[in-house]
Amino acid sequence: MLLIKKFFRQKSNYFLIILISICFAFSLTISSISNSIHAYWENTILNEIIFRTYELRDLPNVDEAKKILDNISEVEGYFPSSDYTVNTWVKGINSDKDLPVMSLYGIVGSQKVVVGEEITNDNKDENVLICPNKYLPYYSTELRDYDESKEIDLTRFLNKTISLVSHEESDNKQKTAHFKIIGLYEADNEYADPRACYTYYTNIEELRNLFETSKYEITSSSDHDLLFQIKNIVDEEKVLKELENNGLYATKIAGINTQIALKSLYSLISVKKVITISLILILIFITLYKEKINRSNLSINKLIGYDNKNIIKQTIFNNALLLFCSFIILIPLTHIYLQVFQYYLPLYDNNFKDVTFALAFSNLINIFFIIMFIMIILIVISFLSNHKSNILEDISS
Amino acid sequence: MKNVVLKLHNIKKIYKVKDENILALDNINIDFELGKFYLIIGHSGSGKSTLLHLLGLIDNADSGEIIFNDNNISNLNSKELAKLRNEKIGYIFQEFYLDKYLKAYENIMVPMLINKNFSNKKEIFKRSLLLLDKVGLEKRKNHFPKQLSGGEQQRVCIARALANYPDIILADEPTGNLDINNEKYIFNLLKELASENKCVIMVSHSSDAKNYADVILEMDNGRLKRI
Ligand SMILES: Nc1ncnc2c1ncn2[C@@H]1O[C@H](COP(=O)(O)OP(=O)(O)OP(=O)(O)O)[C@@H](O)[C@H]1O
Ligand SMILES: [Mg+2]
Repeated sequence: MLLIKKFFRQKSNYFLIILISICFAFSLTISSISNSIHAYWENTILNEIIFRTYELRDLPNVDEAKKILDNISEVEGYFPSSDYTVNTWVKGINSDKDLPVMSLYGIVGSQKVVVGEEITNDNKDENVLICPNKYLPYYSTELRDYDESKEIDLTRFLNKTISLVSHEESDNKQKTAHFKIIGLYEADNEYADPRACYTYYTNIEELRNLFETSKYEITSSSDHDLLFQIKNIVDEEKVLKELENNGLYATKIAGINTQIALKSLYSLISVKKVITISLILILIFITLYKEKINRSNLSINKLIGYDNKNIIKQTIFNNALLLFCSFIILIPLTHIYLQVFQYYLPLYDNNFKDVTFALAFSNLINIFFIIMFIMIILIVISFLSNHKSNILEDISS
Repeated sequence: MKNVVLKLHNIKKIYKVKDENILALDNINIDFELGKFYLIIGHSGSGKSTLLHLLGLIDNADSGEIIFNDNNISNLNSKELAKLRNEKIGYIFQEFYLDKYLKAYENIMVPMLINKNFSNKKEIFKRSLLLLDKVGLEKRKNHFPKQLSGGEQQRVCIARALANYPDIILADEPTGNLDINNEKYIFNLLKELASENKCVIMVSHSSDAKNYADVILEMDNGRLKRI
């Protein structure tokens, strides 16, 4: 109890508590913000189909790869990389007579939508299409020549439902499916095929069943490639690892460099690192300085009969009290910081706009361990500087 | 030969400074008895403080034996030495080494807090008030060292030195920084302690000190002789 009283009579301890809690609250705030943003991204942007689609190229044995993928529960599905297509006729786009052939691809996200919506987790199971803004139909499945004069502006079909029809000799064998065009991509893009629309691959599967087209009709070199999707982006590492263990190396078909996209977050994180490291250094220096000042006091205690064990206990107690008090203050302080950042950050960077910053338990645990770690360092420092001390020298100094 | 609490046998202490050897204590042989007030006088640099350091178990002799209550202290480890210092020895210096963050009575409590002979805080608290009473500072118990005069601080130091019922009180120029009235008070206090069957050993340059002591020893170039 005397130690507690003594602790709170020393002004320097208040200063230290405030310094530590302010710095660590900042650090904790940044970690929480970072956590919130990453969680938000993982749940929304990064978890969209396109970002959880991977490619396996040049497979020596596609069937075996399929078996491996079948056994990974986190994998949602797989399909051949480039040939997972179906050709259909379209009703109602041009005139009643013309039924231009449309190729439907199962690769979501190969083209960037400029008008309308992307195919997302929410709408992938509906019959939705992404199409070129200027559509160039070809009139025969064999003759793939462009006829620019026949270009059709699809802008007016945005959000409209079109009918896809199987190509049959006799009309009564024709099958029809309805798809809604939800987004348009720029047809003039270098890699754009202005005759291709995109939908989620399961829709192609269904369409093929409906049209009674055999599943993998084209055999070519691309036979050796597979695309697959995982159910949740958080399992990315696990799935890739498991594939690697089986000798398969998958690559992402699209990704976002979060380091660039969340530039302001990462600069905050580096500020946090600098602050944390300088705080640790400051604490070490203050501890060394305090030990030096405290020397004569300490040797009085030794003279009175305190042995090294008693003195170490005191040191541990003091440091523990210091960090405990800081930790207690740090939590409400972090909440205040979070409110401030919640208000100001979105003004600077749109990425923060829809994210709610919250203090995560895991961050709290992290900070707790960092604090424990610092405590151990401080205790070791005081131990080392006490251990060598000699009562006589210290008492006369 | 009864009542001997501390026995020095052929004690030598040499300080090595660079190539020079300083013989601070030269073949000291003496018995200290309980119930006596010893005064050690001598020139500056003659080795008085060095002797007190050895008696206080905070420094080691280079040769010879120190027998404390029939135990050779060279056989003790640092923990046992600390225990002896805590329970058997009270040390008073010229400077008043008090913990500036502790009140007068709390400073006195410190040595008792690690003494296993005290069972509870209340007992320790009561004893610290009793000791303050003994040194005439009962009204100043809640004062911090900086709120006390030099003489008062030294009295707190004495009270603290007495906390664990020590057998030996070592005082190295306890009145060096005090005026004549405070000096008298402290000398009387130490004399009283000797009469309470403690062994009081004091180093002092004061000419008045002789009037209080039972035994006067003179230190001369590391040698000790009775006067
Ligand atoms: N730590 C040390 N290192 C080297 N020499 C020392 C040390 N301490 C004391 N000495 C020397 O030992 C001798 C005795 O010193 P000591 O302090 O015992 O003298 P003293 O009798 O107490 O003197 P004073 O009356 O001035 O306090 C002196 O010559 C001193 O210089
Ligand atoms: Mg001296």
